[in-house]
Amino acid sequence: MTNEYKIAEHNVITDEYILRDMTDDEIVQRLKDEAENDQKAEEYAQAAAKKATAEAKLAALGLTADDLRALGL
Amino acid sequence: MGALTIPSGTLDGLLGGAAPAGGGITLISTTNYTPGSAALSITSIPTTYKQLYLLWYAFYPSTGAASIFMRVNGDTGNNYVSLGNNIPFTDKVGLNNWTVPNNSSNIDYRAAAFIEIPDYATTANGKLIRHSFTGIFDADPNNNCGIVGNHLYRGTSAITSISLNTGSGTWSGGVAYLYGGK
Repeated sequence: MTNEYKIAEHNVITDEYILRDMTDDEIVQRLKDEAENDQKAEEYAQAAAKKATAEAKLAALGLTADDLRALGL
Repeated sequence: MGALTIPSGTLDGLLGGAAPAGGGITLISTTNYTPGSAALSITSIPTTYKQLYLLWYAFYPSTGAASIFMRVNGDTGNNYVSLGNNIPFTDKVGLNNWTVPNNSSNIDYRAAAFIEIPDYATTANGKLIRHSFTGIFDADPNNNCGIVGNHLYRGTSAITSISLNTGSGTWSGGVAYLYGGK
């Protein structure tokens, strides 16, 4: 596995900064975090697409989201 | 009606309480982002304060609209829970709620967070993590993100490190001010 990830550590006592490679375990965790991030981004994209589709359908009917809110929907 | 007159002596005496012991807030550290790092870890936090305050300003990742998150003590276990009903423990604070743009052109459109951890040095129980977070997207304001929340970290060790992590890419900007309160 290519160690392409870095962690910066700032020791607040000595004010020393270290930029180090992640360990193998940290890379495994990082890949898990990235997968979770990607899944969330995909969910957002899908929600945005559904919203755009719904707005287009409303527009075809001459309505807007404000019209639905005015009806208490 | 006549003017209120406060007699000589202290207000503490009037209220029947004692003057507060200690008090004050101290800047422990200023931590700047390090280019090329996916995680920024603030380490060796002294345990001599009663609570921690973390102000985290103008931070943004190298990739667009990334989720960001924090952990304490390098703990990647499922030991963090958002306070609410029927919410499972997770392995981090923030991801799925804290979303930031990668806007490097305008500092007004970056993210900011204020995080409080009362009684962070206790070894008797878990810790409350209170956070206020904003992420502003100038390209699409509909993506603006504002979160105020509470997490419980159930670890019983004193908190001596806090890591600030990108969900994708590396840090491209930001500064964290860590304060200790007594």
